[in-house]
Amino acid sequence: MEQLLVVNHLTKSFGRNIALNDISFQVMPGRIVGLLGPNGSGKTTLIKIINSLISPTSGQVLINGEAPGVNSKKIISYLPDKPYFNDWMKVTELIDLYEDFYEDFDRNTALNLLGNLHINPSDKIKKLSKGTIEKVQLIMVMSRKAKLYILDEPIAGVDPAARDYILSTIISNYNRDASIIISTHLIADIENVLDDALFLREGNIAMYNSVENIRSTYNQSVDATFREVFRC
Amino acid sequence: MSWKLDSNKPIYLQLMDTIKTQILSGVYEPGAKLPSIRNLALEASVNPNTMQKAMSELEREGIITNNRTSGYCVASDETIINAFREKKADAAISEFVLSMNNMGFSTDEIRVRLRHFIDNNIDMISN
Amino acid sequence: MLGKVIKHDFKAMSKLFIPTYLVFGALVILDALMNLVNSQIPNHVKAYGIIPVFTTLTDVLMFIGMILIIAISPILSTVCFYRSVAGNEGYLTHTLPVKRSIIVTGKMITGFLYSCISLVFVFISSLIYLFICHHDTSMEIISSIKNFFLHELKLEDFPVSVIVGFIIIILALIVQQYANVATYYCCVAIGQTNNTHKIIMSIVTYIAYTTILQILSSVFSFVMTAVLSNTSDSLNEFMVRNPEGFFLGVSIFALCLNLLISVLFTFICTKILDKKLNLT
Repeated sequence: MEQLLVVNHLTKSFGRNIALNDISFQVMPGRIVGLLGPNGSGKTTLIKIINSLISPTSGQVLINGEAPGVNSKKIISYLPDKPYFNDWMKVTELIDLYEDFYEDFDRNTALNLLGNLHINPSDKIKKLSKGTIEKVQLIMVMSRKAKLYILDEPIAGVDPAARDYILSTIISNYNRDASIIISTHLIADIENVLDDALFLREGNIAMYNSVENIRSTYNQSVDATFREVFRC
Repeated sequence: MSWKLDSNKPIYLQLMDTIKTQILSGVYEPGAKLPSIRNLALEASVNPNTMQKAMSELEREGIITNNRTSGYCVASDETIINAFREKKADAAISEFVLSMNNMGFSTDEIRVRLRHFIDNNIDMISN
Repeated sequence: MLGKVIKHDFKAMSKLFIPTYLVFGALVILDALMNLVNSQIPNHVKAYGIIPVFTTLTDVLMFIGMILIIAISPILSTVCFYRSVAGNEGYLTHTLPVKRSIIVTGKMITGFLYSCISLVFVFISSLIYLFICHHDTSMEIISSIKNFFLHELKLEDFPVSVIVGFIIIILALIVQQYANVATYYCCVAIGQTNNTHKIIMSIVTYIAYTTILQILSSVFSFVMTAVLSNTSDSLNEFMVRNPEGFFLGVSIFALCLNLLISVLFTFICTKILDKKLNLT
């Protein structure tokens, strides 16, 4: 099986600050990977590079064998950790936009998921509560049949019931040909959903292992292992 | 159905244990069809691959069988399930007796207290 | 893809532009009504009334409004561009599976379209205003135009050069709108290269650009005047005898320059965003 994501000796520096230091790893299809690390560890930089939002200083990123560009954007569905819509958009207008630009977007899935949460599509997004906005953005991202989903802090700042809903959405959306990268601080809430954990510390990979291996090797949860690895 | 999972231990082992317990307690009868991996994963809030691994192991142990077309079913042959029941029973009894002993009760006192409990709580016990 | 970019950008910006047009439209109607009322008042009453004062006020407001709408359109477009490219909305814009050059060009075209719409809007509003307030004069003008076209105009009489000249002037005006938008957007992109003061950098770039342009054109006019006054009288005579030709020449020059600016700045804007984009 072809690797879905290959990162090869990737370095990114901003002036003298080295955000990513010669990291290499691979993600196969059908994996849910946790991208774990404190603030400033390079998670966001890595995500931006995969999404072609910034370019590497050196090294290579390949998504389905291609460098980040228009083709990789077709198969990557990205959920940023901020609201990304235009101020006066209604939910339906966001749906129209996704449908127009992404071939793999399914309007019915989106409408169903919105309906489950009693979100009215003709509402202006700006008027919705913060938690609802995050759910809308997640629904849009998950209504695409993408190959690589990148979720940046999908459950931070969201109440526990909504967290359960988001995790259920991620589980039910799982398919063998696609992978999900979840970047988060809230490891305890999410670790049962992960296949693998990639720990980033100060731009380097501190650990990349399956979560079950971590549990049997260290006899503790990924969350506890993380706290040890990143002890201040 | 509550899946109480402890993240400090491998999840797939705990999933196997829970499913076996569900089979024992009659949630799934011998020969009955099990829900799809996706649905079980949703129920337990775990990664589908982890649930898949648990199911594959259960199939290897002979507790469940895999019919390509209709998915996983509980084994109709009850011998393996019964063997598991025996093992669990022994473990539960051993834990009970040893912990009572640790608290300072003698074997006679344990017997008396056990009989007393069963006699006074007959309606609570289902079998 | 270009069409889709334009379509969605157009819809997004309409939320900003339509209220602006509505306000201006209301102002035009208000002013027209005030003038109508004012014209009904007999002269001897006028000196003591407040209505003439208000009418003048609305006249001034409408005039200011017309200038404002034309001046503000490219600024509104630029604000929308900035938000969609450098603000949080950038996370949506830059992850769409569309080449950046198409996104930039599409957005510039949308800004350009709104500038043209504003021009047309002002033009039509003025016509309506004239028609309502100076009805008789308007009717006279219209009938004389009709006369001219129906009776006096013969196709042989109409030199092609006048039509061409007319077209060139309109084209120059249109391309100017695109060049304006391209310049503003490019300044936004250049502003992105400075990590800490992006907006200030954009504004500084624009001011620097216009200042340099002013200096260059002053120098150019000065040099041209000096050159022309020293060259053969035939050139001077040409300017005096054929002012329309000279004006046409200037228009063609402006047209070509603006085309160049449009293409160049679109390219620069795309390249800068490709290399220097860093959304926070």
